[in-house]
Amino acid sequence: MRNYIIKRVLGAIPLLICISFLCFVFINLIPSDPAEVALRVSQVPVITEEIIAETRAAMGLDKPYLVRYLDWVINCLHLDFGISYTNPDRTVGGELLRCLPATLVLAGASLVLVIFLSLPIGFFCAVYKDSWFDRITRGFIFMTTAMPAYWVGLLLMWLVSIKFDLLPTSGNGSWKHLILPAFTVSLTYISTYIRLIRNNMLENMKEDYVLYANVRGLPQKSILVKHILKNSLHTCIVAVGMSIPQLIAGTIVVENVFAWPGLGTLCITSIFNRDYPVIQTYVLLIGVLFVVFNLLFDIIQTIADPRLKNEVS
Amino acid sequence: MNTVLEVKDLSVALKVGNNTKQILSNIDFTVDKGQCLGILGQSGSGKSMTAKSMLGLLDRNFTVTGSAVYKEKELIGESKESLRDIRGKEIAMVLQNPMTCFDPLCRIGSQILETFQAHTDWDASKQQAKALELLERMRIHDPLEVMEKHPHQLSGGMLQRIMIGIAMIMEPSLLIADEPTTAIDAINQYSIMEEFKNIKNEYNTAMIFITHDLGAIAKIADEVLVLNQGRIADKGSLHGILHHAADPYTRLLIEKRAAVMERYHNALYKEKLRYA
Repeated sequence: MRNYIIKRVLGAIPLLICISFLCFVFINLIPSDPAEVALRVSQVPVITEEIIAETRAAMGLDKPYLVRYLDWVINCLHLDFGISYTNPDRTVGGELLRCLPATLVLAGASLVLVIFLSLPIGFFCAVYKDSWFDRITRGFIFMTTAMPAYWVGLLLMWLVSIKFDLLPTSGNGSWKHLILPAFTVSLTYISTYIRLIRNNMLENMKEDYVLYANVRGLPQKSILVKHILKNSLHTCIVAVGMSIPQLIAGTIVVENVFAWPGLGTLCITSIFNRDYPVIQTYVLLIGVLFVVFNLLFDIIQTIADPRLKNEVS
Repeated sequence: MNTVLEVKDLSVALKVGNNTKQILSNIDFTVDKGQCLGILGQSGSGKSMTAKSMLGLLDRNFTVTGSAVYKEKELIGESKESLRDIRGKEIAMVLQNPMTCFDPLCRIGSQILETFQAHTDWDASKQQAKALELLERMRIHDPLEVMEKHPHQLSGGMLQRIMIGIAMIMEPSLLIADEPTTAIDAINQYSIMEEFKNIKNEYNTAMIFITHDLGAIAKIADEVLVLNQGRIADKGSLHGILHHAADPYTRLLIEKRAAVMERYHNALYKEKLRYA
């Protein structure tokens, strides 16, 4: 088991290198000159060729591509992500750290909503298949998967905040501010997970072990919870693992709709300001999150499934 | 009264959309104590359906009519919960694919114990003792270790024996074996058949043995019921069926089997000549 974990962790390293390289290349493909952008953002009145050249040298942009990449990676490994162009007195790491908690709160609240809503709803949809509850839920799923998050956000804002004046429209400060954005972010995931759990359970119900459990006269409740649900959730583990980074990255749009001061808002502002170091670090961070969570949940699944665990050790 | 199960006019229809399809029609048979009824037929002839329809194991799309009286108790139309109490305790069943019949995530021990918990009020230590007794009776080596194993770590033959053990430990009045030898290899088939013969001799349990294998039926059945496309094709003693079958379908089954056996014996004979 330990060897397996070490192997998987080592296997993730090439992937991380690829991600960092792609991230570096793509950001540098943006057709404006970082030096010129940096000068413009710091509001230098007259930008001449000489000043640009000077800034390029100062920022190390005149060095060869690979050298710049290596410098950047090495700095990143020392957790030094450079300095923001717009706010030269702030480091990129500091900026991200400032915005990260808000995004984590939003993503965490969404995850809690996703789990506590989709699990029981999916379960009852499968148990009472084709009942009115199942039909209504399926209609709801059909609708919500077709609606983009920013639109749902605006609709909710209009209905809940403006029409009924129940919750604030934007900002963050209290738990009241959290409800609408968290619900908006989680809505698509809730639909996906209800469908996933419902279909997994219906698939499992056809299995021989369920027939045999019925043959042995086990109580219905125990068959549903102990056997069918447990087997169905197993396939959901990996999906949850992939959803966590998706939730963190996917808050961008919703954060902007609700003016939530998290990573997403920071990222959009940086894109408008051409603040390269921030964008680059944000993309890298999200990429790393995907790799880390994928790895983590793969390992969790291996430990949780006796068949896989056996194969590994 | 020695009759354990009396089935009369049992019919099953499947509803698909607006159409209904008749799957079983007018099945009649009785099973007495200590007697084994063999149900013979090819795949899709309705053998398993007969057993499942009596025990309420079919889903809502199926309509079951007729009567199946188990010890003066009508099973057809009985509530789901009361059938659940009967299943596994009074009427036990052994299924076809031992490898897929156990929950892959649960240990064998816990799957044995949950059966006890469903039907008895034994305390933990008695449950444990009974589980060990069951495994020992089925000649499983290292029963304590096997209890801690997951299904994928055991062989098909072992799982089949555990399934028989679970069925018999509750001392049911009726044992239904649904193609118990189809999915396992020849050596295990032999030992599983021996197991069933023992059960018949020792416990005097009434038994329904469902199979498409004439050889297995010949080993164990007293009475034979031949099913073809959901109807009874032939019915009678084993000897009668083998030698004076009335129905052309039954005769075909027996002829084919005889032809296969002849080819097998010829092949074996030639091999012997070659090495002689």
